[in-house]
Amino acid sequence: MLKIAITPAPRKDLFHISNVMLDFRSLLSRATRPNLAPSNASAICYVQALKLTCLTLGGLGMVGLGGCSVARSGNPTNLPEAVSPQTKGQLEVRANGEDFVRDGFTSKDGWNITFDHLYVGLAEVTALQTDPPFDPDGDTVPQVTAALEQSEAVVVDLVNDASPTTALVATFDKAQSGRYNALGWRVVPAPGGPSAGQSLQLVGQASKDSETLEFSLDWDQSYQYLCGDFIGDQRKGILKQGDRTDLEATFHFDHLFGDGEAPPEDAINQDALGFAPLAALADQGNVTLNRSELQAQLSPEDFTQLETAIAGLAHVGEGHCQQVTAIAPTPEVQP
Amino acid sequence: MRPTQAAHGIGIGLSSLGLWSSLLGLPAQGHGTQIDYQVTPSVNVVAQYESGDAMAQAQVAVFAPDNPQTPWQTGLTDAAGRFQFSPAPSQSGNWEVQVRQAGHGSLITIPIAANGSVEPLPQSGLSPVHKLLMMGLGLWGLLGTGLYFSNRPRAQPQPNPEPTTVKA
Repeated sequence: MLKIAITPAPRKDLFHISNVMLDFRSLLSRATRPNLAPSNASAICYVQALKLTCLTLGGLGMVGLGGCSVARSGNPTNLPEAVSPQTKGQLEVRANGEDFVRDGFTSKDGWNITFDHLYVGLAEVTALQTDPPFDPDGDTVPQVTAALEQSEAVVVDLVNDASPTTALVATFDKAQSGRYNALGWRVVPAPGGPSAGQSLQLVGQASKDSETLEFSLDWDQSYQYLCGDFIGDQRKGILKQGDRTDLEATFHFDHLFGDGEAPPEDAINQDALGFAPLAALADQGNVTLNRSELQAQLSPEDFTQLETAIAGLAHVGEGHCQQVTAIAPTPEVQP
Repeated sequence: MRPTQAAHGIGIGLSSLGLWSSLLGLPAQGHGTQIDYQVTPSVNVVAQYESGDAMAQAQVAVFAPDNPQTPWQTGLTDAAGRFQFSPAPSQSGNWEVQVRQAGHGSLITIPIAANGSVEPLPQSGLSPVHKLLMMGLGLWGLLGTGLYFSNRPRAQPQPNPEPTTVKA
């Protein structure tokens, strides 16, 4: 259940599709007309506000409207009270670190990076049917018509659990058929296992020229995301009766290290930290650091860039996500 | 296909051309060619990066309401990031346009009504009207509060009451 306010995730590589226009004048006027028909809830707000304005000098009317907004913020996804018990098919949610993680890649500053493990802790995985389709780039709240949720935390290794390219995170065997066009999840510290206490753990090697470094980077920050429809070669989340489908939580690690195959002026490289600032912290061929050590040893600018890049890892294929703020305090983890 | 004013105008012009050909004795069916036309509502999509740069030559896939799995039309944007398509009038509902380039992608939903017009999607956030109303109420409240206190009679100082003595 998503209960907290939503703000756009830091993304500088985004684009948007705009200016939907029709060629004919009459259609153009309809296409660009603002939506003046409020929803029932909004209409109720308006009536309440006007009554309060008449009775209490308007100031209280603003409070009334605010009350309406607060009530909606309390349930930002407008989840239905009870989802139909119809059991129509199977839906899987899978995690993907892309080829960068499985096959290795060259960072923007020329380091060849390969991973032994890349652990991610995931919880509150929520598959949503929304109507109208949720737009993660817009300032909107998803209107949910059906929802599936797995609340417990799962840790996946994006390198070794991938079968063949994605790792299983959640399975919903009795999913209501329809279009699952939104996906939410939290990145949380692992409750146990090799990455206990860490929401992200990157383990691998980086080499450049004749130098090879072993790295193990721990990150214990929590995040929460709400994403739109999957964007990729195939469409996902379309569940027909008696069939199965999947959704994908995709992590773009080129946003962290950059892409040596892209031009330096490309946004992906302008925004990424690269590996050189981490290599500079190596101690006897090892870069083994946690978040607080990274904050202490990196320059403030580099650490901010690292934080921003990690927060922006989450995608759905090539589609975007909103980062939900006001994460609850990280729970105590017993390793 | 629903005729429009523009369609009628073009049709009249072509009919006139055919009439003049007959009067001049020219063969009206010279090489058996025929040009038909249809005027259809079309949708122009402009795709650009957040920086404002156009998504030139980006992959476009258009999905019709009755088949969101298989593209109804595919193509590329032009140098300005534009792409145009004409939705089938027989398929009303949510048309989806997906634009992708170099690992980045986005999707827009265009609700087409049965008459071919675009119906704005209901907004789930605060609408401009809602925001404007909230601003207006805030100003109204400030004004009312100010007037209330400005017209309020000043309280007159009251003499201290005599101490009450309770006798047993």
